[in-house]
Amino acid sequence: MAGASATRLTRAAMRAGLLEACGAAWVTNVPEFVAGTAPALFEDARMEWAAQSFAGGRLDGARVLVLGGLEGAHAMRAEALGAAWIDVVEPERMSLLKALAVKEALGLGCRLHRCEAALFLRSSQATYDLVFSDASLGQAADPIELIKQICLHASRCFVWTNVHDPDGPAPPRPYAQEVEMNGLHARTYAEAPGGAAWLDLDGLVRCFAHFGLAAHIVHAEVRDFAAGAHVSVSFRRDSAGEWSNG
Amino acid sequence: MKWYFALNADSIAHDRLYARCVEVAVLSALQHTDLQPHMLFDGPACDLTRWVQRMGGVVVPHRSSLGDAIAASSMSAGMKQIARGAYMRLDLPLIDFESEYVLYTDCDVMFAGPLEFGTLRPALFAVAPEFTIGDFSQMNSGVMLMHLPGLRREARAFDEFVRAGLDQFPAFDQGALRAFFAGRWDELPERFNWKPYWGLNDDAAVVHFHGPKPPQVVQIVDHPEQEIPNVLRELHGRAPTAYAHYLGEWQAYSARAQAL
Repeated sequence: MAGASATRLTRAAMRAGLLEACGAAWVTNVPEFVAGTAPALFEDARMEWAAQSFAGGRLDGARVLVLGGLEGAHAMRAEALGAAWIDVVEPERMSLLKALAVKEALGLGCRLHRCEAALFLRSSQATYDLVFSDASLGQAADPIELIKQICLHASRCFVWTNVHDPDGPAPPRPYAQEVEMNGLHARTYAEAPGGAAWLDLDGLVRCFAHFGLAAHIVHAEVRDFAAGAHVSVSFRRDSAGEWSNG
Repeated sequence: MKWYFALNADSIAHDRLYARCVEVAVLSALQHTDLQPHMLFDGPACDLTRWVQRMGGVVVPHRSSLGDAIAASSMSAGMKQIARGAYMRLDLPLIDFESEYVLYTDCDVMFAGPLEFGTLRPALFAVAPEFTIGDFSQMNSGVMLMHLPGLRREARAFDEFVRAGLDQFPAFDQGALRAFFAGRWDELPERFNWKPYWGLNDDAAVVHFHGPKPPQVVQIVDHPEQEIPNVLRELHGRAPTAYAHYLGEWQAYSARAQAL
């Protein structure tokens, strides 16, 4: 006859069960769960970069919107830095389910929304101290609309995104489009009509500035990357305080 | 398309009602439309002008070309203050020489959806009814799709007409426009100038707080003992549910504006 201890699941096993329910194809290395093949995103520094626009380099008490769930990694980092309210917006079904599993497994307090980022913001009256956008801009067919909506809801934004670089090793993006929105004129570049449209770094900065987030810091700029140049940039409204450890 | 609205600095000197109206109008316009906000502003730079600019809007310093006539008129001081703001819209054909069509609205509007005018191309301007749905003869100038070249051709004659009758026009510019352009304006569908007293409308693109302004709605509901004109109570009484809904939206935008 089996003893009681033999029939009790350990906490780690419960977590593992939640995460395994989402299948094997994890991108990230979730803590206490051997999984992904890609970088250890649960330990990456970008949320800390984003927090540099706050006093003390922390998010204590902040309202944070994460665009791009990335299997829950960013929500965990934001919570660890003290964020009081975290909304995560992820349009892709499997990514959202993985983020949900991580939320349950790690006991995170974030709220998850399955929605396209600009639509979520256009439908919302919420304000955020920080919008953290990981890849969402680079995947948007209308990145300027997304930037506008971010600026209408937040005083600070951290962006990791691909940028157009005609001299880089990435496949060409021959479909340039002149965009006019609310008095802003900008140019986007796509591989195909209607596909993801990228701005160049100057255009990215001008778009944020036009809609009010005029101050910025470039944390990282990687040009020589096969899948496309990418940058990590923090933006903030002039009235949103000083950079911390800039 | 450019979107113009006009404000006299005296209107925001003593309370923030019209500053809040502008903030809500601009924020909701950016949220729902591609319009480029342009504020005709009679007064020195202030927190509001800087806020509008920070949101990507353009501030156009301007004094009504009728300023001398308004000053010399028999209007009371309070009416002159309103007139200086209200009549500014009539100067748009002589301010903007780049645009063919522009949208003008009063400050007390809230954008609720995208603006698609379809094939509407008025020769002069298109306006919606004031109090009664379908009655375009009694139009409201609070939202106007303006054809600037067409209006420019009539600007001189209109200016002379307005100056000659400045003291007599009811509702300022609206009375002058009704009298001079009678029967010549195009019909703007009501959803582009939707009044809360017409009820809830999910298709409304522009909600116009014609009648009680949002703080007055609060006053009517929460402090019925306080003095307020009967006409405002009557308008609110036609559709209190719609007022509650649109007031909630307005207050949410106003709260957001404070955070931006």
